[in-house]
Amino acid sequence: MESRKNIEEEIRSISPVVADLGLQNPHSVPAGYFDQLPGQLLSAAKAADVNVDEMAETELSPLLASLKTLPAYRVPAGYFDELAKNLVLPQPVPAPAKVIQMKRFGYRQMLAAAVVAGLVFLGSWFFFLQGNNDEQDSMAMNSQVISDKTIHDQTTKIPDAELLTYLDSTEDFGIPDEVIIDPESRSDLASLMLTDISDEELEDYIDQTYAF
Amino acid sequence: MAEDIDDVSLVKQFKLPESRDTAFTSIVKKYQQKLYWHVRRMVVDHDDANDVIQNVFIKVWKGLDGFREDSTLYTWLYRIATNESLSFLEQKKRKGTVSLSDNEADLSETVRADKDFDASKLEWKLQLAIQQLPEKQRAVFHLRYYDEMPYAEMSTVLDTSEGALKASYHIAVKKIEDFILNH
Repeated sequence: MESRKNIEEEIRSISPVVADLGLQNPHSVPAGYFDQLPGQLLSAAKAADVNVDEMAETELSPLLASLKTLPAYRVPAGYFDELAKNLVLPQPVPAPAKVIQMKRFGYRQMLAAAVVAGLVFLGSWFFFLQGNNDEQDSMAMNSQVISDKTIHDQTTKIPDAELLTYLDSTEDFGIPDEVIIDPESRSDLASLMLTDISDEELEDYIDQTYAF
Repeated sequence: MAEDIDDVSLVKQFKLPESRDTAFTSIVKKYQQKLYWHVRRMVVDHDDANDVIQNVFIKVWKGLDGFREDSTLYTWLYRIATNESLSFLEQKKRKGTVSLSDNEADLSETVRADKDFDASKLEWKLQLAIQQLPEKQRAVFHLRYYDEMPYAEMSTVLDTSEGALKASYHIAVKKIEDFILNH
């Protein structure tokens, strides 16, 4: 043990304030604590040293060993004789329903399903696409642009008298709705229609028509 | 008296079955107060100190047969007591899931909860100041200041170099001075 003087000198060199406090201990212990402590510690140490499982009950506690054969609780007379008859047997438990695991769809099955769905989708798309094209073709036919030559070919087949009768009977010289004539080709059309008519015939026609 | 029997003789008597109980009792009587106060200063509360002391002497009972006498019995006992105190504080910290700083605050509260606590008295201020120190630094201060333990022996108890212990003690004293002057 280092001398108290050395300890005091050391602490005074570090802090005179702490050195002046002195060895003050404010804590207290219960009365008689240190008188009982050795006995308590010996018992505790021995108890910790013992393998309780291997120790006979008579060694551990003779008192408890002697009380073992003295039952405290009582049962009614003849209880055990009637017990078997009075037992309420449990109802048979129905067998649990068989559980069938649903087959989990593996990766391949899902892939096949996706392919089929894709094919159905593509087929439907093409089908509707085709349908739309046919419709457009039909519409195109109904409202087709009739070329100048077609008109010319058709009108040459019709006799002049019929043409004149038609023109006299109708005020509307418009072209039917279903026939679309390219506006840019009107002048060409007129030229075509007059191709086979000579200038003399044309003058005669004008003289006759506009004589009045 | 137990204090008159030297440690070497006590250890020899303990190793003999017929004198084991007597030797153990003598060892307890010789060192109970020193070890108790060392533990008590670490854990503060008397009931906690009593629990730790029980553990300390159970370990002494079980381990004294294998004591190699490469240190003094006194140093060996202090080493067990310090480790048990630190383990106790560590367990307390884990059970309460408190941080290190909260643990020191918790010990300060335990000091204040003492039935004799008087904040105006310097000795209680000192105890509060000591509780502000980290655990190991607290142990260094206790062993040097109260138990007057040489640094060489303290080095064996705490498994720390003498130089580190001197530095730790110096810092501890300064922190205590600062606390007392500013509170």
